[in-house]
Amino acid sequence: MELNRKKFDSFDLNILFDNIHYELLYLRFFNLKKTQLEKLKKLEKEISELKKEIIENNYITAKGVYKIFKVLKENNFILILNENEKISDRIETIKNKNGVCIADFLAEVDYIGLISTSVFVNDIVFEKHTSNDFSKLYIINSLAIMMAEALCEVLHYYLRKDFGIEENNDLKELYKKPKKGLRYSPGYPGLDMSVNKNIYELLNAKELGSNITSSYMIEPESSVQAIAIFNNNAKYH
Amino acid sequence: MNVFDIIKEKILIFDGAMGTEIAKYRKGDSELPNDFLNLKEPELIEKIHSQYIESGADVIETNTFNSNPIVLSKLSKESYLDDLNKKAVGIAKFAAKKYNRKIFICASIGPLDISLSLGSKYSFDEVKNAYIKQLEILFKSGVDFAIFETSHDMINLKAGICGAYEIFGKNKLPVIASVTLDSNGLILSGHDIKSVYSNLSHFDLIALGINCSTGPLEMRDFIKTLSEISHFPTFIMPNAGFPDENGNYNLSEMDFARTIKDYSIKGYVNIAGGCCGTDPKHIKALSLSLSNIKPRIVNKEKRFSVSNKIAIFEDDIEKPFLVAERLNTLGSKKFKEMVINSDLNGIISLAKEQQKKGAHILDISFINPERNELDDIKKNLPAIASNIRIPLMIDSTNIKSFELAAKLSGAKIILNSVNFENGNDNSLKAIELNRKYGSLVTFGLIDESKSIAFDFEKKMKIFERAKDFFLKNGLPKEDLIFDPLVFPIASSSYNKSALDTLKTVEEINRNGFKTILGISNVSFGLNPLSRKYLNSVFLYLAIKRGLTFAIVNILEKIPYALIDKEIRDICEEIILEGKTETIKTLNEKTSLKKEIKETTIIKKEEEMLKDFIINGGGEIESVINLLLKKYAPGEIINSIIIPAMNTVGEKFSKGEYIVTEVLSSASVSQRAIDLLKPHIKKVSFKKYKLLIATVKGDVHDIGKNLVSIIFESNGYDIIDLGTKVDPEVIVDKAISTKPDFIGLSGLLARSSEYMIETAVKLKEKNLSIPLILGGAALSKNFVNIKIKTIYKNSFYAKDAIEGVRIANTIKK
Repeated sequence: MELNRKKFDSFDLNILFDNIHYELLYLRFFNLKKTQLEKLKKLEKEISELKKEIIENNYITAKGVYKIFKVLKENNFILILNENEKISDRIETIKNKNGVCIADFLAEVDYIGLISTSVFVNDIVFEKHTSNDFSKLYIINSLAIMMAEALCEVLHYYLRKDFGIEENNDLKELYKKPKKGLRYSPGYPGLDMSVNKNIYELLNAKELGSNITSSYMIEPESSVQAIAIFNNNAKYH
Repeated sequence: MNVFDIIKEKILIFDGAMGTEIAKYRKGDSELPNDFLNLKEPELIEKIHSQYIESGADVIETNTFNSNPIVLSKLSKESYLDDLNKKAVGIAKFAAKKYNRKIFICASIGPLDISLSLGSKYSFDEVKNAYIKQLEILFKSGVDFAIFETSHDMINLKAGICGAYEIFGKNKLPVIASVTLDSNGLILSGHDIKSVYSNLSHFDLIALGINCSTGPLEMRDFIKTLSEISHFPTFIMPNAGFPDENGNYNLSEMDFARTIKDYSIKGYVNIAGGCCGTDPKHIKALSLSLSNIKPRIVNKEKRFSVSNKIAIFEDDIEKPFLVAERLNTLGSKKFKEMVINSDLNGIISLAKEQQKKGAHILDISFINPERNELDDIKKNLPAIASNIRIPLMIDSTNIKSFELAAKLSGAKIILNSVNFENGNDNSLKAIELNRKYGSLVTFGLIDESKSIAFDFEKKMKIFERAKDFFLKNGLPKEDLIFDPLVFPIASSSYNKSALDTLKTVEEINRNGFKTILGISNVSFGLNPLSRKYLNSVFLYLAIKRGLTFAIVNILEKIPYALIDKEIRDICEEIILEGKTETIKTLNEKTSLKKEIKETTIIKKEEEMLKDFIINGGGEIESVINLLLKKYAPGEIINSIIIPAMNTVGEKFSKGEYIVTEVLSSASVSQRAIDLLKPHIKKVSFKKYKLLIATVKGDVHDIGKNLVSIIFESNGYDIIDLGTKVDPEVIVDKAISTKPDFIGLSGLLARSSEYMIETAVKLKEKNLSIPLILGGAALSKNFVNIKIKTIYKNSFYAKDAIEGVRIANTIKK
């Protein structure tokens, strides 16, 4: 098991394109449902042409960092240990209406993974497209947001590989494949937004070039952070 | 008790979703569809069936949505066809057996992941045969009936029901057909609920209805329309609302049941159930809510209609139905050459032109002895059918053409024509085509004798024989159309032929049957100008005698009322009195007339700019320069650019445009405004200003930028403060820049608090600038309750387009 921090300064965009949850992309950013096949086909074509342009011209840079931490459990708190096995941080997890919280899926002494991803739309895009192709800009920005999630999915996969619980070797459409354990992001049930600060600092995500705001939101908008629990009995609230 | 009887007594309750229920018990997606759980975890499927039965479902659907040869072959699992379907029925029967009341087992048949209308490597017959295979196994295993659900393509659906027809023959088909409509009421292949009904009305189904895509609320107009026209019982099976960002369905069982109950009380519903996202709670609520409500009374008569993607019912229009004639290889040299040269684009343009000019029906003929007619149909008809909404008439002497055309187009075609020239055979075949495809049958008054039936008596004799023949062999009276034939008056040996044709139309109409005439034939051989007038008068005379369908040159029609009395009288002499010598006089008179030429529309620059914006592209620089010679820049923005963007906004609200299309239009509009900017003098033109920001702590950018772009392309000036903006900064900037509107955006729950703070500070400074709020952090309720109470001039906008609309309304 690897306890070292792993950082990626320019993740392979081809892998990320293979891991975008396109159905959610179309629903969330274009309000298109599965049944609107004609408009979907048109958009799919636009995106696959744009994919080439994005990769060849370096429009997008995807960065990420992850690490496995040894932890202790104390009621609903997860206590993070540093290299010297001293407690370096405490993360609070919220009990749901049945009294279950994320910390319940941990043993007294256990391991978790932390992930932080940020996808940057580079200035060159704005130089080329200033006041011109709004539609293209919109698609690029939407893709960046979905890629941050896709990178989080891939890094979660790498975490499981490092932890020794992942057998699959195919990096395509990871979100469709069954996996052991789950990941949780701040702002969703179970974790307050402020946990973003814990993750950001524990991973030193500043090195990626992102910021964290006073409301605990990561900037740029196309960023995702998560806690990975390796226990196969983990559930969502 | 069979299902047909039960529907008369109560509203039949279908079960709820299978897929979303399975997901509750099993984590993670597998590569194989849920159907395979029939083999791997039959207890789970049985459990779900039982839960629905216990919740009050009268009907459970087998877990076979994907168990079709075509879907399975994509997964290389064709060999599982038998087992999957058999096992599914077995599980359902086993579950139903445990209970004391009658539970119907309905086979679930999915729509396949192909679309024959949009083009597929599969043919109509291959799809039909695949459905037959699946249906045979299911019915042999003992299902009570089957439902073709979530149908998105008319041709797929017809292939399926034709399959059922081939198994069950002329008996009542134990089949329910259900389509899935988008929020504009269309299925993928472009049909609305009326044309769905019309296209299927020749089958004898258990029920016809709607399922999936939306929750019950959005189905209101469509189920209402269906209940008003359908002679079938109606079926409704909505989702539990729309899925949210994470794909979860959130409509509560009470809201779900309440809406359907409302429809039932209004008399729209015979059968109801739940689709995606519904669970036993929804079905329980539904079953309790509908338990005492009487089902819709099904006593509608089947109304006559023709249909392709749209349906035209008999009373919708003032007869005659106008049939456009130009797509005819015999009648149009232009079209004939397009077919020879494989000019598909030209063919489609010609078809669309006629549709635009007001044709109700499009006549198409590929008759050409030098070519293979069936090949030409195969090559050209699918593209015509998918680009044209109006019904189609197929003109051919080859009986095989009609079935081919019916399969390729999925439309309820009008078959033109059959006759007795070679005996009864073709007519019998036509009757079978009517049963299977709903095709309307045109019969030309021709029999085996060598002499042509020019005169009235001969025609009526053939009519009598044909009428008896068709009625005896079971063709519905309303699907039969008679063509008394039109002969060229100039060259006919019998100069009363046109008069006798008209007499025949009148007599057949009196007998209660429909008629059709190829109007242009009457003037064949005359000079073009005389032809137009003679055709027009002939048409008028035929309409007066009750003509139902008129095949005309829709692009060259002259309205009867616009013809001089003198010319009208001459034409009537020729037609009604057979005075063919008067043709010379007609030629003289018409050559003197100035041709009523349609002014070729050179598109004016105003129209061009508007179109460029609406279509999201075009060379606008030269157009702008031309416009600047006529108008001040402010006028161009206010009277062309902004109205064009309003139209775009409307299309977006109606669902015709998605956001990228709106943005393409905005790009053009923005470019136009940029080109005009240097020409705008300071004082002459008032532009409204929007101050916009994403609130403190929030970096949500994409939505805010969308709003900026849309406002700017609608003629507003934008001051964008960016993201993470403090409430104090927003208020300070509002004081210093004096905008006409303030827009705030936010994604986080916390951001809504900062919006309240901003509202408080604005109030403190005694400002009253309209405040428009949007973003995922908000709802209309929130704005009304939490913000409007502090700062009265506050508004909620669900998207950029609504924001512009609100601002525009306030402006006035």
